[in-house]
Amino acid sequence: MSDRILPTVTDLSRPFWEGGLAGELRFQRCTACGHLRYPIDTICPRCLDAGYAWEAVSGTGTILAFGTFRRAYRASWEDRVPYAVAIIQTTEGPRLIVDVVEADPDELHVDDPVEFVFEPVTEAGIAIPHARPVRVQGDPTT
Amino acid sequence: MAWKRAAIAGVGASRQGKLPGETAMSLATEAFRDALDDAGIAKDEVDGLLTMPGTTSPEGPKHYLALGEHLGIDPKVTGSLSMGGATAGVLIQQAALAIDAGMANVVACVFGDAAKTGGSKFDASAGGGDSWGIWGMFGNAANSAMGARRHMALYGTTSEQLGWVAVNGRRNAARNPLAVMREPITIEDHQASRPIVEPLHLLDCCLITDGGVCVIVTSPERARDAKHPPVSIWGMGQGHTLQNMGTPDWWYLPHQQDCISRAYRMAGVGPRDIDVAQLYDNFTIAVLFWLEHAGFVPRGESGPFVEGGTRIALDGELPLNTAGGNLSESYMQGWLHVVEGVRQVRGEAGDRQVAGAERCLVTGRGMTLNTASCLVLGPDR
Ligand SMILES: [Zn+2]
Repeated sequence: MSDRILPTVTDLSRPFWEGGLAGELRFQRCTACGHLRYPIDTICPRCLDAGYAWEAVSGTGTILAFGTFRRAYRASWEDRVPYAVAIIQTTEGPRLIVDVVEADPDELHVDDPVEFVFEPVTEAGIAIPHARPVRVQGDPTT
Repeated sequence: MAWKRAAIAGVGASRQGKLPGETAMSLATEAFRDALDDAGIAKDEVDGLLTMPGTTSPEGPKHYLALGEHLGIDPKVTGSLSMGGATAGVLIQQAALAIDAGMANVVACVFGDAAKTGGSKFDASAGGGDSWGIWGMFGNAANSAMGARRHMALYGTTSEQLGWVAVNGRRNAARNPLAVMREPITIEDHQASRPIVEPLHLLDCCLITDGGVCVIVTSPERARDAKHPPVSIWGMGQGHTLQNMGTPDWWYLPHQQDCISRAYRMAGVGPRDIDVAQLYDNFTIAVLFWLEHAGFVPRGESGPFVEGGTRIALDGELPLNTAGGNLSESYMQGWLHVVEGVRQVRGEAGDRQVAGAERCLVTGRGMTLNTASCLVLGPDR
């Protein structure tokens, strides 16, 4: 039995977790004031309205900050060390914390551009978002 | 004009460290006795009891109830609060307000925890709602590591500069009989200590310890009749960001700046009036943020300020964490920072006394860096 922590998917959060299966990062947009929000919640923290619609965003952003883990706190992360966990500033505004994949943490820098990639968790019917550095096309050094 | 409408008449601490056989309750009790003795105030005079449950307190939010029964107190004012490292400051503020309003006259603010012996886990996944553990973010160091990383990227702050905060804490702890860690350390030791969440190393992190602390808050009039000269509350402040990552500069914790500005205004002082500071140091980087938030240095300049350790030493321009702090004295979640602030203002800190210390800034912060509180302490006159 893996000790990996999986999300608790609820009716409220399901569109976020299922969005990944379609390759989409989705946030809630308040239908009253237009505020795009994360974390997922039942009301808008700006105007308190309960109306919202899920919206796919670009799935791009930058690394606001990150920390590097060289040892695993859980067995399920042992094959991942060393790895970085970052606060991602998304292009559209909300910030979220995810791990950075396909990257040597020692090569990462604050404000580096990233894109979201999605890891399907078949048995749960969801996909987990991760960040990956954006490689500039034609530049072998990046 | 400083506020000065309540004062600290007594401070107490239990033994600190690894104390098998003790509990959160027994350590809180030991500290309560010590504080009453320090104040020269009898238990029967205590008419307020405000508490912070320890990580090993089974009572949770009903902690005040269990402690009140144990200590034999029927208070006029009571309650328990859990705001992490901001709690000590917030409870002392609530005590001061209750006293100023005439609702109580002698309020004991109490904390105890057997975190070391009880094996409290501080490496659980961070974050609320969808646990950040989904993305491999574990341990209390992670949030602070991220703040440190961005501070380094923007301002050129280095790990060695963080190390000077640790070296300073240990140097002061060596002069403090209560401190748990008194063996001197060097910058080389800091650099060689194992990574926790980079850029933070082991010696950037606070201890985990057993212990208890109590602070007796009372009216200025009552405090003048206590055993020691009163330490007056000149100003107090809070600042909170309850929305994680709610703004682009969340990582910089601007609410801590607001917290201190509010206290300065209430005290009628500014950063240049502060003689000594006890800045909450769950991690070394926290002290750098506080130095900027308190206006001791401009934004981004805290690293060079602490480098070399001379400006922040006991005989420096701004002596910091003079008892050793969370890093080297004991991890009492900021409660001992208040105790040391009181001792410095009283002038009774012995080998580590800062000459001429009158005004002390004490700060605290907690949860996922959402909460902050501070006190400006000074003489009664
Ligand atoms: Zn809204």
